Amino acid sequence: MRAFLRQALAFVAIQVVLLVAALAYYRVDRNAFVGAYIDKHLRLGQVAPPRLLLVGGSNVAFATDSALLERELGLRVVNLGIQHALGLPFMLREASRAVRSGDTIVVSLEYDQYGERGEEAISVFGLLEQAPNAWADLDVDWTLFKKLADGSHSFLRGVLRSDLARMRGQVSAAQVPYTRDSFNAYGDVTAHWSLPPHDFLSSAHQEHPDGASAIPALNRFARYCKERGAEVLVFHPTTTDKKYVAMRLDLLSARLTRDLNTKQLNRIEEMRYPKELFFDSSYHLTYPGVERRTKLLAQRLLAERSSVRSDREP
Amino acid sequence: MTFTTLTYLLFFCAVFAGYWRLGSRRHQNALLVVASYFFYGWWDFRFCALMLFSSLVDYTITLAIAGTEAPGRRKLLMLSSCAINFGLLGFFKYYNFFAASLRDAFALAGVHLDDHTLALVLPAGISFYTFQTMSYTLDVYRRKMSAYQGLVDYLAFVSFFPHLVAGPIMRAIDFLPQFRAERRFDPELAVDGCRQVLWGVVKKMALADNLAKIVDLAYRDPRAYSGPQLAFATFCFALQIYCDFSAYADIATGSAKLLGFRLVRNFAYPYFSQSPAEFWRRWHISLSTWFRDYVYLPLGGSRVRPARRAFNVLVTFILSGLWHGASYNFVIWGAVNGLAVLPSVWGDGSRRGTSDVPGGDADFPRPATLLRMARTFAFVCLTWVFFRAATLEDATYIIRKIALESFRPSNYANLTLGFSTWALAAPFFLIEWLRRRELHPLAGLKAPNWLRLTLYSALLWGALLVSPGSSSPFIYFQF
Repeated sequence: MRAFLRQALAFVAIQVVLLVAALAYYRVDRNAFVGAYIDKHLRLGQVAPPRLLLVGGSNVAFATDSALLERELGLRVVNLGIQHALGLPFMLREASRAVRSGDTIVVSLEYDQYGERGEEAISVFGLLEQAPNAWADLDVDWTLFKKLADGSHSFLRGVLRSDLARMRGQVSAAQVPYTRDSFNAYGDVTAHWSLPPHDFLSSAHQEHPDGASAIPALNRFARYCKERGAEVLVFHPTTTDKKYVAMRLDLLSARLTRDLNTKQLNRIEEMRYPKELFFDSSYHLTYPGVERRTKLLAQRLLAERSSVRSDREP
Repeated sequence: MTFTTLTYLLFFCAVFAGYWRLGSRRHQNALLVVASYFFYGWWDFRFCALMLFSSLVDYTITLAIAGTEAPGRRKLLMLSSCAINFGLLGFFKYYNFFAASLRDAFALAGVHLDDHTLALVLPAGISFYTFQTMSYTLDVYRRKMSAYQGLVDYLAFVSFFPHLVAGPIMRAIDFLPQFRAERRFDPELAVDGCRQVLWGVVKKMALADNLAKIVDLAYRDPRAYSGPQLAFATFCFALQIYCDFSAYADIATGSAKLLGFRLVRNFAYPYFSQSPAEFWRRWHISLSTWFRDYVYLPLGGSRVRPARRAFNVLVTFILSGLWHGASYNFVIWGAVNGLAVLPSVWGDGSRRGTSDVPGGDADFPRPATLLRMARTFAFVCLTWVFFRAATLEDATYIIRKIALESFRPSNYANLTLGFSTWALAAPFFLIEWLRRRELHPLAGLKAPNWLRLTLYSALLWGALLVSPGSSSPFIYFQF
């Protein structure tokens, strides 16, 4: 046993030395995409209520023109969307902590968020590395703890890759538009507006998201916001025809109509956009797509406002 | 808890340290039970209750079988154990398939039934531990072994965490005695275990997880790809499933060795086989032998007329396909493999002139050997299409597309076939070929200490470096 332990300890010692060396050489990439969290929270602190808070994953970041929204609505906009791999619990908790009386919150969830919780360890670690205070926005329960524990080696892999990139003289491993400086002051990704679209595949086989846990979470969130004098509305993101069929989004739409206690500004069916409006996924749009989606959102919000006003009039 | 995570590394180190500090095998087995249920509960603690229930049923029934000499009662007890085990397995694995099939069948006749499929979560490893406990009951019923009184030993045998989720499927007759014997730390076995674990980690992280990305892309939407691309994705899947499943077996076997246990070999370099029959002697050996002993031989095996022999083989292979899951794809996959094995079953059954070393004893295979290996590999790849495709429609589409487009040179223009994949796969095949006489390629490695430590460190960090950001679960977890 002793001889074996001696050998094993020698091996472990080598790994520890390599690990320490890798960590010592490592520099946090300040231009990483999730670093946008810091800028978005800076803006959140600067803009006084009533505000329009846009909540969701990258579909919100890559498919909104907040300046256009501000012009149409006369409301200050803060786009909180970064990445769906941060998970629905994170997004709702982040928005819950940010909400103030008078705010309007528009939630746009990627459709798979209605199925699984969606957190990926690699994204969560990336966020915490950029902004350790984002820990307060994480809804750390047993499920997330297990995900982080099981995915911890992905952080180590990131360190190694970053070290190698640095050795090759690269400043950042991130590429436009997946960089922090691809965002504008509102929190929209705008760097891709001038880039040519990429081909992408919409899978013919995808899990059907039934909304079993996401819908109650959204209802709880809306109740919480209402208690604080804010209003929550849901605006669905774009999709391709193939994805709509593959994910049985018609069934999700029916379920949302039945079980969601929050007003939906649009229906999933009407968000099936033509191929030429997509940038590199069914959620990321080229500028004409961004404009179309933003105008629709503005139009529906205005209609919603006027209907609320007319309801209040005697 | 997946084997290729830091969580498992920490978990295993804690178990290893505690395990060898405990003096008696009773305490060691108790620790193994606690550790195994923790390991299993890491996925979903509700699964633990199901495994405990299944274990207790077989434990109790087996004691009852041993306690009676009345043949009728013994048979009744054995059948009740089968009914409960297969009932649980069938419910979790096949309920939705049969409910949907029934609904579709009625729909063809114009009768529309309500959707009665359930959102069932398949408990990880249920097929594996069910077959393991079943083998125990059947062996006691057939008087091949006596029933065990020690409940803790028995629970440790069923739940033993290294092989709990994806095998190898151990027979009670081979494995239970290991839980009843005192264990002494064997440094050579432990060193070999470490090496086997390392080789498994490399296969899974560097190869299987990277190949999964290519395969998933093509198989999720086959209609978006050309024939050569689908052929390449199928080749990648053949590599992926081998690297994935054999990696699990390697890590399981290596972990077990570190705890003083010996698991049966599950893979013996199957892609160097020269016929489908040889392939099935080298692929998922513990399942193949289970079906041989508990299905094929009871049906009459080879000692019957040729037509009946063919029937036995086909039934065995189709059931083996169904074991993987409830879909027509698995049935066809099993049937095609069964048909391919028939010539060897109808032969004299001997393997005269063939070596136990896959691909023969020569360092360089002869052209004829190489041709047979290539032919067998191509056939196996073809059958994997049914195994991997999401639907039967997709599988037939892929095969048609490969057949129609792969032989036209013009279809290869402007085609990039993942250079990095070849860069990883080619050395892997070479290493496996050169080390095919060993149980695993790192076994019995003779080199100075410093060189070995450097090699192991390079393998570990290299695997981590080339692995994709998020690792996919082991393929056989779904079974």
